[in-house]
Amino acid sequence: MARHIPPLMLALVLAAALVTPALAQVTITFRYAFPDGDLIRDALVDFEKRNPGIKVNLQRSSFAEARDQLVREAAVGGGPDVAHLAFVWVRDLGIAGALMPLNDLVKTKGVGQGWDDFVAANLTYDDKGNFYGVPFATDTWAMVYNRQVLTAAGIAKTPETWEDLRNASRQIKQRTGKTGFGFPGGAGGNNSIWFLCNFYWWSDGGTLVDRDTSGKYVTGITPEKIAEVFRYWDSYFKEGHNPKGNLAVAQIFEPQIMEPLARGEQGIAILPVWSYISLVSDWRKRNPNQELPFYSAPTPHGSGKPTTHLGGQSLGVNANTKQPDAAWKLVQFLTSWDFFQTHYKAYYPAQKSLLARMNFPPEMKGFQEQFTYARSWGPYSTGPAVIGAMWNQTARSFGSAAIGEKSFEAAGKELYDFVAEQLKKQ
Amino acid sequence: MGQQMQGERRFVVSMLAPMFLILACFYLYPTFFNLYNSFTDLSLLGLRRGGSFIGPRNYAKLLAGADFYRVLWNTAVWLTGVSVVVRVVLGFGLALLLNSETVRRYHLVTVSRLILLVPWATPPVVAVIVFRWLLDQRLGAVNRALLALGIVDAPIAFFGDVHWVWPSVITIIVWNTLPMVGLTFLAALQSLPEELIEAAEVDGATAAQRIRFVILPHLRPTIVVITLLSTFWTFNNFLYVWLTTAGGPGSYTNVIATEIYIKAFIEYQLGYSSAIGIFAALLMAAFALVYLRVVARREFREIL
Repeated sequence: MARHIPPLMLALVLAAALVTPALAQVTITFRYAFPDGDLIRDALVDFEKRNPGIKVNLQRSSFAEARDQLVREAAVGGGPDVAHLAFVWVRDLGIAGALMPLNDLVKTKGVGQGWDDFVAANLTYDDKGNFYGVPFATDTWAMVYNRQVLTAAGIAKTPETWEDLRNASRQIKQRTGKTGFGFPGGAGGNNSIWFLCNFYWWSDGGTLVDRDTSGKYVTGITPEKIAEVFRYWDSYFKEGHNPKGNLAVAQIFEPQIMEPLARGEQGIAILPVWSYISLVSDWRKRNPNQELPFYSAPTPHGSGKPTTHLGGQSLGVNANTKQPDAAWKLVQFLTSWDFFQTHYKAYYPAQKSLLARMNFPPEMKGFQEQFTYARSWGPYSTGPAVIGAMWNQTARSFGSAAIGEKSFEAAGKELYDFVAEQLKKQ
Repeated sequence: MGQQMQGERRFVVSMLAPMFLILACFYLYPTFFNLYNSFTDLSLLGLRRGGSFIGPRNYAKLLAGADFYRVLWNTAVWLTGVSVVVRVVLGFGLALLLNSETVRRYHLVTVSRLILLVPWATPPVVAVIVFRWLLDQRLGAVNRALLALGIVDAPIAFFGDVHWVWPSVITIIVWNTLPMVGLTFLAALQSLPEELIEAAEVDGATAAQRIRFVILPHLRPTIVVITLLSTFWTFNNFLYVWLTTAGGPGSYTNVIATEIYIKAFIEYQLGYSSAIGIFAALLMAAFALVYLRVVARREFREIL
């Protein structure tokens, strides 16, 4: 018996040596840029159970910093394997060499219900047909009204046009003393006045960046129209139904906007899906067993439809990753119906077929309708102009006019010339 | 004697050499790299490719733009000039108060110094967030207090009104950095021989005269050093303005540091933002020359 032990041990050692590589842990890193990282942490535990050979380290970052951080890291061969990024960043990051093209992975391994099922996929392409991101969750903005404040102000009908909205805002201030439509007008890298101006232009038949029939990028709006819209938004500050202090607030989800809304001191807001979800959840925690006063509705419109942007986030695979297959498995998991049903219920998948299966609670009906009107950034993203630069300039020009440094006409022309200059790079 | 001096100099130089090596690696190289970048069209998204050489075009664009002079004015006058003067004046007053007989008589020396350290121990980010809440138009405690006391009829938009925005930003800077200035002056005051003050009192000097003819001349070197150092620290400061107003409303509070950030990380123009950085560094170099002339040369002479 003893004579058989050494060969048996040898066989076991050999078997272990052969088996070990198959069980070897591959470790990848996923960088998630929203504050609710706990949701993702739970999901990653689930992913690791389904994929025993892959371990995922979760990194957190601020959404505002996510793009720049990846650019810096990727330039020196670093960065996470999979990154959570805005729709409009992935193309630039791909061209910059920070993200790997995903054409082969999509073709050979597939993702979701097929590439054509993803919304805003056009934003991920470069001019050569390479695409660099998989649309993950989609988002748009819609109006949020506090029913109690509207009733107290004697407003029975939800505003449908931009003029209706201003009248309602005015009426709330006059009759209740509360803020009407509170929105930020401040500068900063991710300022919100950019979105408001674009929503107005789009719903009134214009667009800051357009593509003509020959494929050339052009400005689809006049300086006068820019000035008109600037003046419209400024009137909320000048008339006092949006506090002047909001001229120093840059983002729509900052506490200076959200807190008065949650306290019932403001009647109207415009919010992205995820901000509204956190408002509702926060309000319910503060006011258990009470009826939610908020409801959502599509944005007002001008001569056209109430158009907002189809925003959202994509998942990009770092060009430096050593584990593209494991990274892709994670991407496949994070875009699956199971993931959205089990772990990521508060968000909406960026896939047409999954979006159609989502259940919108009553307070979200406005967002559901708004999704049907939302458009992608299209030429803004695929054209030669840097979105961040136009975004920044919009707030600068608007702000300068709002504080009386220059006329609205001069501010409108300034933004128009700036965009035209950017478009010359094509 | 001469040989001994030479030996000492050699020793000093050899001791300083590693530090100069580190400075060359971590300061000199990045400076020259930045200088090179300022002559290119380097984009944030083109870091891997690098930029193309475009000569002094970035500098020409910088100097031709009216916006840049506004940024320069904001940086030199508001962010640096006003805030440094306010800090030095208040810091001096605070030091006089803490060094006064009254504070000692009531055994408040330790308590008052501890309280003074609180703002200094508060990280700038926290200080800005707290002040943004305190000064908020709708929910801020300051506006509520002003309204309750009947001082104002309507809440003030401290960060949205051009009459208030710079004073508000400067208030935050001063609150956060005043302790360092105050404590430095206090240390200098405590080195003032009491006999000098007593002699002035015997000669019939009033309090104002004692300050003017005894205390201020004694504190002069400290005032010069602290003013120059505060100028260095403030001129390049990014955080206070960015977190409070992000340079707005419009570009009313935009300063050099925020402009560099905007051009580099929002508009992707790394080459152009490098040119702004070099321009700012040249201005700082001018201050550094003053500092070297006034302070450091004397110190070097003592060493060498």
